[in-house]
Amino acid sequence: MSPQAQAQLTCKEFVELVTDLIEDQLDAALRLAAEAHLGDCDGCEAYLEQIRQTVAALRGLADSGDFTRDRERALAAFRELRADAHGNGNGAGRSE
Amino acid sequence: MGQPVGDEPRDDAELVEALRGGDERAFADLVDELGPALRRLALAHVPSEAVADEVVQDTWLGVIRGIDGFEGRSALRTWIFRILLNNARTRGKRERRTLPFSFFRRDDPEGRGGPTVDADRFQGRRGDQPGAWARPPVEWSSPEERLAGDAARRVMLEAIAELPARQREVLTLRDIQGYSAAEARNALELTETNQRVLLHRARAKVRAALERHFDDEGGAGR
Repeated sequence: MSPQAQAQLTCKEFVELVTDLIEDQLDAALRLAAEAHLGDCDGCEAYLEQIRQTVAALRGLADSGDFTRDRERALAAFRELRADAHGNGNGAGRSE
Repeated sequence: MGQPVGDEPRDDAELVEALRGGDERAFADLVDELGPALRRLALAHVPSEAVADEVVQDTWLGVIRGIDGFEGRSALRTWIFRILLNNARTRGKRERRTLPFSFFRRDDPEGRGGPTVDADRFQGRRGDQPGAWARPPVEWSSPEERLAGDAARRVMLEAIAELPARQREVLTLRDIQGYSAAEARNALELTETNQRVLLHRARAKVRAALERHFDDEGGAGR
């Protein structure tokens, strides 16, 4: 308990810094304080790890369904409204 | 600027010209690039895939019809996202009114303020170490398998549906779609800081939902 106290973070403060930490947006002093805290706190280490695991799991939700239908409809609309207007004789191409 | 390499994304002026000229290939590239993100973002506002499809299609119609009048005051992609978001937010509000229960609960779209972890998880002012964990998080056991499971997936989707709208948008682009901070910021027209604050709050809530789920799962039963 002495001079280093000024740089010390509580756990409650640390959890509000995790995104800035992950995104590398902390200034040098705060980053050092965060890393020092992390090295000495199992709870915060677990918290940060769970945030990382959550982010990774969210990425797993990414299958965006049948995008192909969106695509076909958009291209059909483009052909109809744009290519025609400019006499861009692209023919009918594929049907579906 | 930059080298004119075959498949590099073209700069806005060139792309806008191509679209105006009816260049279907240029349009198809744009649809491929933005389509999945637009669909995801639509789904962040409307409750069904069918409605999301309509919102996306309307967006492309807006682009096709509006490109002649596009003045380039914003980036082309920012403009496209703006069309989608206006559309999706409006449709979202309308659909919500017709649902028997609230699909997306919050009205405060940003949901800012307050700590992201329940205050009672920490020691109070009279504790030995104020601000230290009173109930620290416990490492999740075999997290990869459990997080990939259907139950966890459902928990995450529910937690996302409960987020305030702006948080849901940012989380959708950053973490689900994998956009960089800069891409998300441009698409959603947010400042760097605001983008990060919204992401921070959103992630914390999804983590908390997973923690509750794993606690229930691991607890009492066995």
